[in-house]
Amino acid sequence: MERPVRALLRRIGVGLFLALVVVFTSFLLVKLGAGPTDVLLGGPSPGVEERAQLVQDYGLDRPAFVQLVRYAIRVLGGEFGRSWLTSESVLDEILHRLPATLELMLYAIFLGTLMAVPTGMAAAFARDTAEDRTVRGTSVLGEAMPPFFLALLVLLVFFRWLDIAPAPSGRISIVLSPPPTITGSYFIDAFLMQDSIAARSALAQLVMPVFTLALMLGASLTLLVRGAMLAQMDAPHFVYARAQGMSREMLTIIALRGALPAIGGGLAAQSAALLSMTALVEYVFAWGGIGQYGLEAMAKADFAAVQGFILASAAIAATVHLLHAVIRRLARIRIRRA
Amino acid sequence: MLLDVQDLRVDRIVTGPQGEPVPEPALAGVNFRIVKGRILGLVGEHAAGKSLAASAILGLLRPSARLVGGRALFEGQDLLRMSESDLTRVRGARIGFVVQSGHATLDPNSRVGAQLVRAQSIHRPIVKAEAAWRAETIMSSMGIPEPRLRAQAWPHELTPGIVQRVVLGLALINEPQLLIADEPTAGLDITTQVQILDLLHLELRRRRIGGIIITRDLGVVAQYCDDIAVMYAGQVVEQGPVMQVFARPAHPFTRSMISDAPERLGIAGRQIVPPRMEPEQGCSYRPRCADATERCLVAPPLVGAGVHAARCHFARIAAA
Repeated sequence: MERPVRALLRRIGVGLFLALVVVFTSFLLVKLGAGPTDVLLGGPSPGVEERAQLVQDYGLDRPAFVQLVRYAIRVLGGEFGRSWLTSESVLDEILHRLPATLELMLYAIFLGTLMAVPTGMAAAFARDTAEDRTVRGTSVLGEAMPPFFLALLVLLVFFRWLDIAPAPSGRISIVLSPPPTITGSYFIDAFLMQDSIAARSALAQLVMPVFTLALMLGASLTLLVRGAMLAQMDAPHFVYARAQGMSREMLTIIALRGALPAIGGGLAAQSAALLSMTALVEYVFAWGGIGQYGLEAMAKADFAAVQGFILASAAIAATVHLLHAVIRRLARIRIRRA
Repeated sequence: MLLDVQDLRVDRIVTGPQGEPVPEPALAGVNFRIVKGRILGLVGEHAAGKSLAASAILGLLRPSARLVGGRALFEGQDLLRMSESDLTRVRGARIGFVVQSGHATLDPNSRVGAQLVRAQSIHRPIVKAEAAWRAETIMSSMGIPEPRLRAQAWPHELTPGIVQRVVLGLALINEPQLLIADEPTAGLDITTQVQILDLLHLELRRRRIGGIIITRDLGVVAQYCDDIAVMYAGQVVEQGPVMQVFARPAHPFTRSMISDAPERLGIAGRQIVPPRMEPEQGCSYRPRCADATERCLVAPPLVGAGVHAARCHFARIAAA
């Protein structure tokens, strides 16, 4: 029991260090940004009072190091500043939009995994055949495609040609009002409120963005699953399992179980990096999550919001990695004791 | 006749100069046979094709190798033409397989006892408690102390010697007719090697089943085998009863192996990697043979019609 705890503490320590690195980066972004700090944070024409407030809050009249320390203390205290565009607190806006993004990412991770694992396994078993080459080629194509372009393709096919998905107008039909917030996911909340019309609409809106992201994630994950399975199938114990006369089903289970740590690690890394793709996809489908928020802030040089977006994405990535570490550790303990 | 391998041909797929796959003969017509109750020592240098022959017979060739032709009649059925699903019923049930020692052989994600139970469940419906009992029984007859405790162990918790005993147990638990042991003691220390080989020999004798021991060590053949098949560059160049071949080796390669072996036909044969198989015609041993003449530019026939035969123009086989 002691070793897992110490390992967890060490991981938290590393996490804190990384948090400092992220804060420093986000500070540098503004410091090295193309313009005076007060303009970047306060907009092109801040009033005299707002300016004085900014100078005081961020210590802009003090040396850079003092500014960094002040900024770090402010961030750690949950003070992300205000967007000059909307005059809203950046933290509030991000927290408000976070469920939309998380919903998209979670469904995409689920669907992407569901597509990638069987496909990758089938490709591994059919190594170097036409099927394998087709899977590999498609996956590489999917990996190479820019997210916004794939999003537009999905839009073209599902909305324009097949007409089975609603217009990309956000998270719920524009004629409906969002359900009261319980979990933050419109679909689940509407479902819990037994509002079937809203639930159906929220689900329909999810189809295209989730499918786009799942394709992006699934493409790279398929190659990863295939590689991990092949590594197992080349291992001596797998060859020996065949020599024992095991059926294809049992061989699949043995290889999959051996490949699971590699697949889990890859999935964690991909999921942590998924937010950058999510941002572009959100933009195309007017999703209104933190990705779209971040992109719009970048386009308008709203640097307080950009900083908030960076911190939020770092937090998401760190959470995914921490979850992965905990799951892996629990799995290892289970194997030891089973 | 338990297993009769005839003219087994396998190509290894190598990458050509333009990156294209090129087949290169790796087994050029291998012949040997095993009689029930006898042990054959398949001996030769590194990369002579011993393991490749075993993999081909069991249908376990890697994607980089391709079966070209031949027959492997096991109890009258040709293994090389069997469907994969029929082969899975032979492998592990009627032919046991022991591979090189090492933790890498056992499934790292299952306990040892569970693997022994699983090996039984593959080939027949089992009652779990009975299968577990059989697993413990075979562990103890493989000389594993405290089998009940060891059955709960993970492969990485065991010493190499115990692992190899487990592998032997896995190969024997379904009471096969034939056991193929591919370098069963490679990587073990000398004392453990002797123990494992003694155990293997004892089990083969006790069960009166056929055995193939693949090795580079002539000492192992001399001590544990009834027959010997000497492989060189993808062919069996000499085959016969151990006593006869050791007394009068007919092929120059066999002679050089025997004379190069340390005093007591000791620990290992010579470790020279043979040259690639000569693409031109003639005897493949010609480049290394001290007695080669122009006649050797023609592929040598199999000399000797009885149990002892050698693939050499100058072989003199004494009538048995």
